[in-house]
Amino acid sequence: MSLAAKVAVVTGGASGIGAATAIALAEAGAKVIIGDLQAEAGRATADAVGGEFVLADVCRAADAEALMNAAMDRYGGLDLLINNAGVVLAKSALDTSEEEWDRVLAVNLKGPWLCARAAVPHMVRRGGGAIVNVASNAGLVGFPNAAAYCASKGGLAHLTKAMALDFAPFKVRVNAVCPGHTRTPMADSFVASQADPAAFLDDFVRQQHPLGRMAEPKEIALCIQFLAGDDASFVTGAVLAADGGFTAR
Amino acid sequence: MALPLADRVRLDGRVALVTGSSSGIGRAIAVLFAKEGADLAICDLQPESRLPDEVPDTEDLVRVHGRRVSFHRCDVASENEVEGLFAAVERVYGRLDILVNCAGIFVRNSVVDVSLAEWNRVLAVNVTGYYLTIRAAIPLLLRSGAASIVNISSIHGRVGTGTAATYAASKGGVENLTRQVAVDYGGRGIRCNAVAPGTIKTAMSKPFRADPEILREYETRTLLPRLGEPDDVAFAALYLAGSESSFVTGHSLVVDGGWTCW
Repeated sequence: MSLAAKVAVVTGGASGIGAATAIALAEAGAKVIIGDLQAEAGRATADAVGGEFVLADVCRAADAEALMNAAMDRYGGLDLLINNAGVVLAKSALDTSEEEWDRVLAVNLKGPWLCARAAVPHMVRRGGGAIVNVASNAGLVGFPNAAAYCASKGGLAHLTKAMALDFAPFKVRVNAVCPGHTRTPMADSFVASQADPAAFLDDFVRQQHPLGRMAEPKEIALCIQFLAGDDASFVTGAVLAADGGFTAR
Repeated sequence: MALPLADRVRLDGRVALVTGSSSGIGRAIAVLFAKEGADLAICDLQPESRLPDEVPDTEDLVRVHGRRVSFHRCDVASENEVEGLFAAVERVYGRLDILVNCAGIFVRNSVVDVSLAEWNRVLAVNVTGYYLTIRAAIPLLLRSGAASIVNISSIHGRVGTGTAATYAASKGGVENLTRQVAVDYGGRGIRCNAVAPGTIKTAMSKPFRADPEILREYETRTLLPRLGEPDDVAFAALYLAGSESSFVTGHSLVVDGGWTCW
């Protein structure tokens, strides 16, 4: 499947799933713009894929608009938006502060909405486009000590369906991928914050994912690539669990 | 440097079995898999498509792509015939990496309209048939190392629509059989997923698409401004069959133009 002549914005593209996605999309021929708060890592990924880096905080409307405008200025159009930027918070509903709740919901839920709202007018000018939201298996089922994260990702999975309805008349498809535990800096920090990281890895990752392992970022990137490309041109409003069987249990 | 993805053959050297391969979705899957480098065992009740414009036969189309192909006449609801099918596959290819269950029948009826005989026939093909092929395939798939089962389900397995009680019950069964097989065999190198198509332009949906009232319902529920083509389902099946989906198991992927998201 080719993404030649497509222009893609990947938020949170500096590391983890976002960086792997930037690489996968570029390998398929797309021009890639990376938006991230991590300037050094973001520039490094952008250089690696021959793309551009834009310093952007996705939960600020002006940043989201500047990011999409950068795609227009640099490549003359925008076809694909990968809403991947996200944060995790390993706290129960009792322990979460109001500031922490607001921050998680702002990055993980408000950000994808702001970016989609900024991107779609550009996609309309190209005759259509595709948005892929990176949610989580925590958006499908409950996890302990991750209340704000679960709420934000459940919201994102559901926002996917609402935006699929809103954008279908413009031929903009909207889908989500819900990764299981994936080997990324964010997931590593979540494991490290557990009381017993080794036991958590064994119980949560090995026992509760029927495939018995965690995902590599590339495996999620290829899922995103499928949903972004024309092979999925009749797929919209879908929430694809790439979770090693976690939610099939 | 790695080849650009667009130039890679995605199922190179894999052996795939596709049931219900003569028409519509099964036919599109068999041809796409051959194009992507797989050898194909194909099976159906007859080699010809049920749509007169789907010519030549699937077997001839697969051969165009230079892959090995064998057609097997098989009623998937028959234990004996399915056992014979897998004995033949093992004899011809010596292995199996991918099983695509696509053989199915559709009837439109409410629970009070369907006869017990008709109910039993639909369940026999659409659910028991999938069980029989999966059961027979597992010993071969365990030897593959990277095996994938793709069950063609339906949005009728997820929502109630279109007065299709028997079909809905059968596809609901397929949805959860998919999850159970995924959980049971995830640790042993076999992934199992489903594709749940919406309205696809096949022989199965043709009589209903010809009814203006039903067609209007199809077009209203489908968000995208077109109905699905068999290739739309084939591309999803290709993704789930190949190594790109290596962390996806127990999932049912909707290919419905947005039908079930509202």
